[in-house]
Amino acid sequence: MTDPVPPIPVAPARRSLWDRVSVVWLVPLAALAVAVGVGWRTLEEKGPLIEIEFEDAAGVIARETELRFRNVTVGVVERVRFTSDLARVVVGVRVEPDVAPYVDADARFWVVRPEITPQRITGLETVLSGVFIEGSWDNLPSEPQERFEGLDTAPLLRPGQDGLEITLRSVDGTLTSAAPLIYQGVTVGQVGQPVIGDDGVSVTAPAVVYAPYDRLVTEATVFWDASGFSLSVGAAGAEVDFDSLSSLIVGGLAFDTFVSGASPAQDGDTFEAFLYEEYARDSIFTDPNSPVLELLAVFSGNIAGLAVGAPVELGGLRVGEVTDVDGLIDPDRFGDTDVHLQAVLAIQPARLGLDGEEGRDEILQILQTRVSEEGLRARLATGSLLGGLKVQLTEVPESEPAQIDLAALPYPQLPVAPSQITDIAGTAEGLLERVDNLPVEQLLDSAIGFLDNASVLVASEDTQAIPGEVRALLGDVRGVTNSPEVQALPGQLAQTLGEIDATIAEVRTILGEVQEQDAINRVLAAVDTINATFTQLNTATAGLPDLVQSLNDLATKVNGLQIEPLLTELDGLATDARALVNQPGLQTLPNRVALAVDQTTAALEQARDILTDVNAADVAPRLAATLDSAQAAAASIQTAAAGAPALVERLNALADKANALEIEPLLDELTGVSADARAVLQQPGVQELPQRLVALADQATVALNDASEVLTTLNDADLANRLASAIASGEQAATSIRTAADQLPSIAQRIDALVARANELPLDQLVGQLTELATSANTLVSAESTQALPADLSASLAEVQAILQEAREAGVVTNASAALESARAAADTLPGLVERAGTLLDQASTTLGTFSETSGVVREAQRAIQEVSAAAQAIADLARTIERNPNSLIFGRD
Amino acid sequence: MGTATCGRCGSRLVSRDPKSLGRAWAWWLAGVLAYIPANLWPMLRTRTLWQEESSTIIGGALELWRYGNMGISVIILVASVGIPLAKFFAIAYLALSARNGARASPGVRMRLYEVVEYIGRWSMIDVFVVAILASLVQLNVVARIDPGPASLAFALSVIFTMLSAQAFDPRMIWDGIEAEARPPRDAPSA
Repeated sequence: MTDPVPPIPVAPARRSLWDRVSVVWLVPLAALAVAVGVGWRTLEEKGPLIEIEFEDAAGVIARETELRFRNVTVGVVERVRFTSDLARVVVGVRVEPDVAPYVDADARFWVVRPEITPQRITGLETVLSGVFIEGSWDNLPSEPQERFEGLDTAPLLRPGQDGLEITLRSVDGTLTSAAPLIYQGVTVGQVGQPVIGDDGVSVTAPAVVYAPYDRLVTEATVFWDASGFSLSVGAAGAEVDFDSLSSLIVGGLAFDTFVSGASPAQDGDTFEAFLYEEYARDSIFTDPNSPVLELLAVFSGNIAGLAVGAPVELGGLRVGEVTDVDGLIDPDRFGDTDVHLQAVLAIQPARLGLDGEEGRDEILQILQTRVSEEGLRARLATGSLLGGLKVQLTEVPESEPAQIDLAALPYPQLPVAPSQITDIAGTAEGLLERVDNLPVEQLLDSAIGFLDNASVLVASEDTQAIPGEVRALLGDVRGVTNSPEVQALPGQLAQTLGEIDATIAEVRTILGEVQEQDAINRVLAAVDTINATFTQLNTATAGLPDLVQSLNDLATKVNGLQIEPLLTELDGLATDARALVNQPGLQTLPNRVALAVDQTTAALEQARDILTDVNAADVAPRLAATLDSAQAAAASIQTAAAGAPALVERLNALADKANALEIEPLLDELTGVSADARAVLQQPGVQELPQRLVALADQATVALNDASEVLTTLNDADLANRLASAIASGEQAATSIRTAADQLPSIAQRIDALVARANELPLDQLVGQLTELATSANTLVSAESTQALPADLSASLAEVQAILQEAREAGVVTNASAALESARAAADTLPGLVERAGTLLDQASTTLGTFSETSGVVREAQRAIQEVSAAAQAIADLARTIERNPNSLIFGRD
Repeated sequence: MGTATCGRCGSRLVSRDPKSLGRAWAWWLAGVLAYIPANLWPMLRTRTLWQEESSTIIGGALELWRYGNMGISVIILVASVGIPLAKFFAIAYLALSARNGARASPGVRMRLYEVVEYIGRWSMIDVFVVAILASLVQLNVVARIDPGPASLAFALSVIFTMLSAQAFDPRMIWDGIEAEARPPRDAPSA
């Protein structure tokens, strides 16, 4: 066999690490490494932690709320804690390391929340994403700071932003938060949050003017409120002015520098903000903080319209304003319980050029002097047309001496003068009231009614027809009056008047003689009696008004009657009358009348001669006796008149009865009568009448010639004696009249009884009878005999003519003397006549008793016809007046 | 008996991989390491219109408990916290007992090992839930759920634990029986 194998050391194989340890161990190692690496990197990436103090956390949530700078997240809030005294909230923020170096002492932090201001709406995204903290710092790294004070709102001026930081101050509330600062319409800055100043009156707010506009602000710059709009009404019209739409709504402060040469403003300067641009301009020269002199003025009376802020004027210049208005009731001080107006006047001495405290004392002294020496007083005056009042310090002449009461509380008191307020509104109101109270409607109604009636009257055809006819009539009359003879009449009349004058002279001498006979006293006595008679008649007429009233009613009734047909007839009547007048014969009548006048003149001459003779005769005593008789007659008449009142009463009652009468049918009948009368007029016989009248006038002329001859004859025939004897006869006649008049009272009584009887009459029956009478009159007029009347009349006229002829031939003189004789005889028979008249009346009264129906008819008819004719006359007058002067409808006859 | 060495290279033949325990320990350590960030980092990131919310496993479970969903909270705690921890302890115990012996009988340990290996994969259900949520709620701005980094860590932890359990050789549990069951040599032979 072989050699034994040398012993080989057998050792177990050395196991490598890989044999013992598996590869898997790499995995945990790797995990560990990863864990460690991640941890390391996180630790290294953490920036510094800064702490910011805020008033409250306000939505800041740990680990969620971010810190942003320029809208880039640069940090996260890690924790939110309190300060040790729980006064503020400390927010710990982990800032990114690359930003951390810039967060230095001038960094500002604030919480951005949703903010809605009139200016803008910001931060809305924070509604969704939650609030975040915004930081602001400059871009210069410097020493880092760890603790910061957070701001409540974003700062006006961000770090890094350039601008001028100033303070604005206002006393009238013109500062609003976040209002823009506007220069020439461009927003160049912003106002911060206003706070109330230390004095409790003013409001200050920080403001910033961004660069490069900060150059525009100098020490003399003034600020004013540019919000809203201003409305001014002036001579140029109404002006609305506002700076911009945003300032209209949001507000804003505008500024400008009106004076040059001032140095630029520095940070921290304070400026005053005014309400209006004018105030701002004013303040350049006056310091609004200058001391103010406050005075008191107490006005009495019921005055409304003084408001705080009303101007105080001295010499027409505004020197201050009213700062307080109060009511004051003090019975002890004023003596009554009325409310007095206490106004505090704040006067700025700076406006008058007196500055400072000394200025204030100076102005007080000046006012004192003027009050005591020149009568300066405070009074209310109208400030504007719209009712505002202002306080005027003016010199009031003739005011009682007074002084400024320096001891009054709380301010010195000025003496006051009565107010001078023109209450324009009140006067205007009063005027309007008076105009309102005018009874315009009634006036208009009356005028309208009157015009309606007048128009109806004027429009009626008959009225319109009348003027035509009347006009034509007038034309014809004018033709007549235009004839040369009529023109010559005045000359002749003048001549006649001359003769009459001479005659009157003669009469006067006679009267002189009468005077010697002491006839005057007798006349006076007669006049006294007549006076007494008139007194009686007065009492009688006392009852006349009622009578007249009744007659008036009657007339009214008559007026209301239908008289148009009557008018028509009368119109026709006028036509015919005109035709009559147109007759050529009538045209020549004036000629003849002229001749007649000549004759009269001559006759008068002769009469004068006669009178001269009469003068010689002893006529006066006869006249005296005649007068005595006349006096006695008057006495009798007086007693007769004593019974007149009762008579009037009766007549009154009679008139009342007449009022109640029915006279329409009567009128109809009268119309018929008129128609027939017209027919009568139209007859040819009537047409001939004028010719006959002319002939008659010729005859009259001739007769007058004869009369003058007669007078001559009389003159020769020693007429004076005859006249004396005639007067004697007259005397006897007067005596007779006297005896007759003695019987008058009894006659008056009889008449009285008659009227009483007449009163008791059944007048209605009367009217009925009258109607029948009218009917019968109508038939009478239309009867052929009446138609034939004119012919008879003309024949009668021919007869008269012939008679005159005869008279002329037959020798009138004898006839005249015989006439005188017979006249005397007639005068002797006068008493007998009167007796007979009395008996006749007795008979009439008895007749009335028996024939009660027929006796009063004629009287009634006469009265009625008279009234009718008066009415017709009135209508014709009216028509004429209207024709001539239509204005008379309104203005009346002038 | 057979040879105890390899015929080719002469190395001793062993019936167990000596490195298997090491491997189990390695995987176990990785799992534990991965489990820490899985709890610390957020599991889910919920982003709604106005806020973003991220919750860890335990934090989410506790919030559910606070909002009254106690059942779910318990489930989550058990499933996401209890079981992984129990697995860690179990594997560690098995690995230690394989070397040093244990008082529990091998049968019990074997049962334990089987349980661990069986439920190992089911731990992934957590991650599965997160994935489903994230893929379902993706309404961009209105609502959005994203898986947080913890889900990755948790998945890794579960994977490592599974690998660890797999690497452990269960025959090692039974290896000590012969030694235990062998009577002592110096026992009198008869």
